[in-house]
Amino acid sequence: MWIKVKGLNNPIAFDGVPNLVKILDKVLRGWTFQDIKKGKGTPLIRLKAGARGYERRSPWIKGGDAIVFPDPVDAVCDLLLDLEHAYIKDSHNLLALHAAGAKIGSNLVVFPSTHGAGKSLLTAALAQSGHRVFADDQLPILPGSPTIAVAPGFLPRLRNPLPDDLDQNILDFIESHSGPQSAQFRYVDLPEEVLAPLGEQAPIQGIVLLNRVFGASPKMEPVSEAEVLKTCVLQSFGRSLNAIELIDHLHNMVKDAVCVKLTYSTVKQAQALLQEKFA
Amino acid sequence: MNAFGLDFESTKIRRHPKVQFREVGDEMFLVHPDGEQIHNLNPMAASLWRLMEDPITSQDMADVVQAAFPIMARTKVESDINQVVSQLLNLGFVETSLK
Repeated sequence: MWIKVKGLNNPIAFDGVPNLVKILDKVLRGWTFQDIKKGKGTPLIRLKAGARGYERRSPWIKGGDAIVFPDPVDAVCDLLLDLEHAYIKDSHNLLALHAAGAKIGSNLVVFPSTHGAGKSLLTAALAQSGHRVFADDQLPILPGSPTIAVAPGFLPRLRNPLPDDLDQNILDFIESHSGPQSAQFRYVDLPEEVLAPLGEQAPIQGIVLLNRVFGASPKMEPVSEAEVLKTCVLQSFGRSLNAIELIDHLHNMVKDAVCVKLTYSTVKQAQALLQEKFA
Repeated sequence: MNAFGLDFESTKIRRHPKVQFREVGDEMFLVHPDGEQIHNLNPMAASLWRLMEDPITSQDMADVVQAAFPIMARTKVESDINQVVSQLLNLGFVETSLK
């Protein structure tokens, strides 16, 4: 089975793994698929069932070997990385950040960060309080003045287990919006009104560096333009721009945004401070 | 000659002409001549990069650093400079020229 994805130049090959297409369809919003005949185009991303699980090959897997996942949901989780790379590659003006993004009130706020800072859980908490989620991990951006965030149309994905100190209302929301899940991850099946579909755009007005510290008193404090720019450069990926253009574009984004550092211990604290600052 | 093959007193160090850079606040970002790699310099390396606006010997850089931080031992200053210059040379961000 080969799939043509609207907006991507190359088809994706799903050889003998139709269940992955079904899961993929459940975790994407605003993406359009079409079955096509094998041989029409050249797939850059290829998936198939192997002896050890679901195998995937693509230009973005380091070393050129197949990456293998025994669990189908985990296989789709990782496939989204390639999907994002392909989308950025074929949308020539975009670059991408490892960042969450959500519209808090009318302000699109970005949280650039690597794994483990709590982006996804915070995204779910913001959705629970009615804010529109753009991304929980990978956020395409359109350089310019202002810099525009472009929703990737992915459901937020949480790592299992959830923290013990999670607020009951947030926990209830997550459990009542249960999407595909594995032992390692669970998707949060957000409704249309709080999840921006692929391609929805909004100017970036805030950038928040997350600093999750167990037991810390929650606080929001100013942060230097230099520190935010450094974080954004480190969290950028998939660019077609040269490096100096990248720095200049990200610098423009940082200069135009309200930049703060948010120190917090629980997601509920972060949710409250963000609403107070940006809503 | 020092351990890195540079003459501390006579070898002049200069920025590679194809290196582009941006200084924002106290962060210095260098872009490799290949146009792809970005390196973020630590404060010591950033200070030396500023001094390399014109070709300069490691000794002259050490004099400037020593004047700014008189409490630092001269051997420590020279060692730090050797290390930074060597790394910048290895990465292709700077070049050498004789005095």
